[in-house]
Amino acid sequence: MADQTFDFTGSAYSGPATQGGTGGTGSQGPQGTNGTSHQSTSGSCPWVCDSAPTNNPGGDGGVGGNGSKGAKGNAAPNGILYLNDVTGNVSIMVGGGNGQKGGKGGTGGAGGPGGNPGNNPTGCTAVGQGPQGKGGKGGNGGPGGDGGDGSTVTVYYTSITGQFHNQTTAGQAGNGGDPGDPGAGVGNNGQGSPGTGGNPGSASVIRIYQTP
Amino acid sequence: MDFLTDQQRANFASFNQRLGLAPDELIHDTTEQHAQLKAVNDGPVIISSNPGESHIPVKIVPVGSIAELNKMVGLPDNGDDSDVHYPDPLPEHQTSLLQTANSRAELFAGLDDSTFETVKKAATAFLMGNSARLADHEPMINAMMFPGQVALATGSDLNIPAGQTYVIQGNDPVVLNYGRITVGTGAQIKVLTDTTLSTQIFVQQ
Repeated sequence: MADQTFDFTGSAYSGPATQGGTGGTGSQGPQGTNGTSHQSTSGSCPWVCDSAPTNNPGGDGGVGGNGSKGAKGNAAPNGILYLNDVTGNVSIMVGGGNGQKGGKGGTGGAGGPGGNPGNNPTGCTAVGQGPQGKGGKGGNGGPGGDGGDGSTVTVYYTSITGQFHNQTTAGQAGNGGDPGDPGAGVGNNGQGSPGTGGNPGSASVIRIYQTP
Repeated sequence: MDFLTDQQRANFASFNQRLGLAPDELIHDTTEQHAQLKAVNDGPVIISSNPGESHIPVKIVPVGSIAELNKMVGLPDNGDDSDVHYPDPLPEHQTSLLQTANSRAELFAGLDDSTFETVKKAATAFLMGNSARLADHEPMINAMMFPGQVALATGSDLNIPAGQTYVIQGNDPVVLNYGRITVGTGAQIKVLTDTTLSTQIFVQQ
């Protein structure tokens, strides 16, 4: 059941602002160093590995984009109510809508593919492709939107058997967006930072006058 | 509207005339309306300045200026305006655009963001307070916000059943004039657009 006869509160947002974009995929790692070996002059002349081939990890994924700033809350509408002869208790609530939550930070980019291995000469043990790079850091959450502007509701009446109950609220600041998730990879550079909150909205006023 | 006194009927007629309607003009038949609204079961009943989405018939009336709107729904200039926020005058480089801009689009392109906020506040103060104090803002209000329109709904009896929500919404102001409005237990009037409501009898059950 509703608690308010009249509700002049600005409407709420159904969801947060737009999420930031996903970071770019990291670059492929550089090719590894070639191995070196030589043939022994003694015995059955086996090949001796002097330095094994190496590989390199892929580059780190890019940082996710920052979430969008939340929109300002919807303003409370203005109202003029000529209620004249009133029976019962009348409750009125007025206030700006809450600011929109900031957008979530974008997901960090995936780590780049590992670099190709260096050449494997006779006598050395081959290595595989390098490991994937670290996942990119998630983007920062967007700032929350400011609370919506308040309004004025003016009520005129000639008589009332009950009472008026008034409630004014200020539009609440939107919460900052959630931090973006790190990208996929072998390890990652962590989440982004959460967004900062907005500012509360301006106050509302309810004016009630009894007229002859 | 036999349930009204002569004085209440006169008040209803006077408000209708203020809106530019005939004294006894009812935009919709209340009995018929209630029958129609029984079909709107699952969601709130909408009263909208967009006739296409309004469950209750509305009449769209063009409004040429803020002064004209003030005559229809504004509060008296000599009323209590202690809570009304009168914005500061606009800077010269903004008001001069009224003379130099060749179109509304050109005007809007040259306005600062703060001007939009200021003019919106000025328009509200024009209606809620002493309009004479907004004389400097009036040309810019008219240039930015008019011509416009309002949606009118008038009837003898508006009955909001227990637990039901009526939502007043749309992009333009809505004005209601009724003989009697009855709000059932737990029912609610949710207002999402600037609204002026007049009723001679208001009953909250």
